[in-house]
Amino acid sequence: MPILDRPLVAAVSLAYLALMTAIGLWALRRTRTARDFFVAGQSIGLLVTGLATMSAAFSGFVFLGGPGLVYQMGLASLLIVAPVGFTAGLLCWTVAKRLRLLSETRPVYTVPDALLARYRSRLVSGLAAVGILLGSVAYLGAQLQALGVLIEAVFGTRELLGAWSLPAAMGAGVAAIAVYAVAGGMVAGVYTDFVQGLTMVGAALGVFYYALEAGGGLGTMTREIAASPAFGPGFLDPLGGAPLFTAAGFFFLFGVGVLGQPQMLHKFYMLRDVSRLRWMPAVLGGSQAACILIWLGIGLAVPALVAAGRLEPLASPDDASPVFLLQFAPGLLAGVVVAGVLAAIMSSADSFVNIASAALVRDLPKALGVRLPEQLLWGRVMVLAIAVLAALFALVYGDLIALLGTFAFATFAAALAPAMAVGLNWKRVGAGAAGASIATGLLLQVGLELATRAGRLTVLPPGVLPGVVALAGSFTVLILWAWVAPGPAPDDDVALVMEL
Amino acid sequence: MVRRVALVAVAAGSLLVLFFSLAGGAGASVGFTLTAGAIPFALMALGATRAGRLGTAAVPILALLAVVEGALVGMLLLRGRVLEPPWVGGLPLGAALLVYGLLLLPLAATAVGFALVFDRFDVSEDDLERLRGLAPGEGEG
Repeated sequence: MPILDRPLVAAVSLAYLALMTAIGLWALRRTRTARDFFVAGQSIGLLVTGLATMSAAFSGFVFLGGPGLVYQMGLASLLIVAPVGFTAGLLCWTVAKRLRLLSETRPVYTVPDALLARYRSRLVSGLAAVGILLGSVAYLGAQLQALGVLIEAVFGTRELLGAWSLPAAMGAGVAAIAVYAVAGGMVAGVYTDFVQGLTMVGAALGVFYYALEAGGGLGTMTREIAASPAFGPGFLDPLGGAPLFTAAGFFFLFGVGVLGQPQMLHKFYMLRDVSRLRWMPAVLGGSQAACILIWLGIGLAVPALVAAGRLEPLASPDDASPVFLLQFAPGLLAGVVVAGVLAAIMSSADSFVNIASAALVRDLPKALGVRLPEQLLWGRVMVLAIAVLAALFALVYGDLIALLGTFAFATFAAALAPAMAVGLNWKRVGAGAAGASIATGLLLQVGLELATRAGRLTVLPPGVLPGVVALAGSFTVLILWAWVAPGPAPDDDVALVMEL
Repeated sequence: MVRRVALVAVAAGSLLVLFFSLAGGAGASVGFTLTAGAIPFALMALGATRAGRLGTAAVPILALLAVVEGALVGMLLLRGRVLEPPWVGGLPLGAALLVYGLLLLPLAATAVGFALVFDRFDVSEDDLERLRGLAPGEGEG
């Protein structure tokens, strides 16, 4: 990544990190029980929940990787994020209200908690907890790695510390996250996510404006790109720049897989009451769409500027955002965007550290029939332990963690989406169907992904995403199993939750 | 009835996605695209069904299905025809269908549609009391 160590960028980033720490310390005084720690006391309003859900869902990838992906494969890459047009509604219609209502009758704080209440099966909730733990540590490691690289770039630590630069930068990132996550749990998490969400939206809107200005408007940019031998018309063809199976597969995986993302589902427990959901699709979908503007803006501006000869071709597609910010955005905006990227990474990391902590302190002990005393204390200890462990894991197995991080979304989707979305809306689904679906999703996703990457898989035609097969397979197993062998009726309170 | 139709749609859609994914080829990829695009709305219908009926929720959900499938069909038909007019809002028609038809129009339709029919899904204080009355005792949940 190009060096971003300008005084203004570093100053804005430092101010931002200080603000996050201050929120953590403020939240410490408001965190007294495990309910406060894991679900922020269920006292959060619409705007905070909506923006916190958005910022937990969108990692730094939207700001850094997205524009790079457009540079690399053209507008087809936008199919990854295009489903945000309807995914907020999909979440609200299928799972959000059910999850919030479940927590009215039982101490349901996590996705495995909800599965335990729905299916009365410790095996099902335990399987889900294992999947969540693995995916969370992988996602977290990838976020911490990205955070370390960004801190290195902003503060120029590589020249100062040499080989120790990345470990030191990641250590600083872990410390910043740990301060507010350990101190304030989800109270801190949700309010830092809110501020982070606002920062992300502001940064994206600002960059989109400057991208349009630098490129001369959408029409000029697209005409430059279409006429360029380096990019050509295919760059602007949404279903032509990549194999159709890949482009449409992105749309399916990210459009349906959202129903299995614990970092998003977890936020619905925190809502003050169900009636706040009325405008959730507007807040969540609107803020996501605003952030995508950075993907579209830089994604089109950089190739257009390269095509016009105003910018050198990029050494790496991931340089698209940093290069644009350095050369075409005002210093203050570059600082805000870097803070926005920090925000995106930290909010995702914070969500995963809390979810992984809950999996270890609540979900796995419950699945084993054990109730851990002092959950608040252990929750804090585990937050710290998981953050350090994930950082060490990322340092030692850098390539592996990057690989795991990239397919964690699909892993969550294939393992959890059917058992949540169909299981919370159809009473015939029993523990057998749910367990088989979760196991099918996990095995297919991890097996196909590893086999594909090792070059040993020739079953799937070119362009077909392993996650798509795993997700469709998981849905198929769940529904067919439930039709053939319906489960027992759910408990009365759960049945009512499914009817309301 | 609606629940059954939605479930059949999700199950048949998932099976078709698997079939097309394993079959490969140009025809299968088109079938895959259109099937994959419809599944989210079958899931929406499943979640929005109350007492076997979709009621007013049918309007936004069917509208969304039509908009998204229409945009996908348009993008499929326009493959390889980027330079042909008309361009809309500075984008070739296919790209415009992606940005405006697949992202912005569904975003507005979802936000407004969900809010307008939300009363059908809202929970009254009586419902909440009834729910709390069914709460399992300590150690049962």
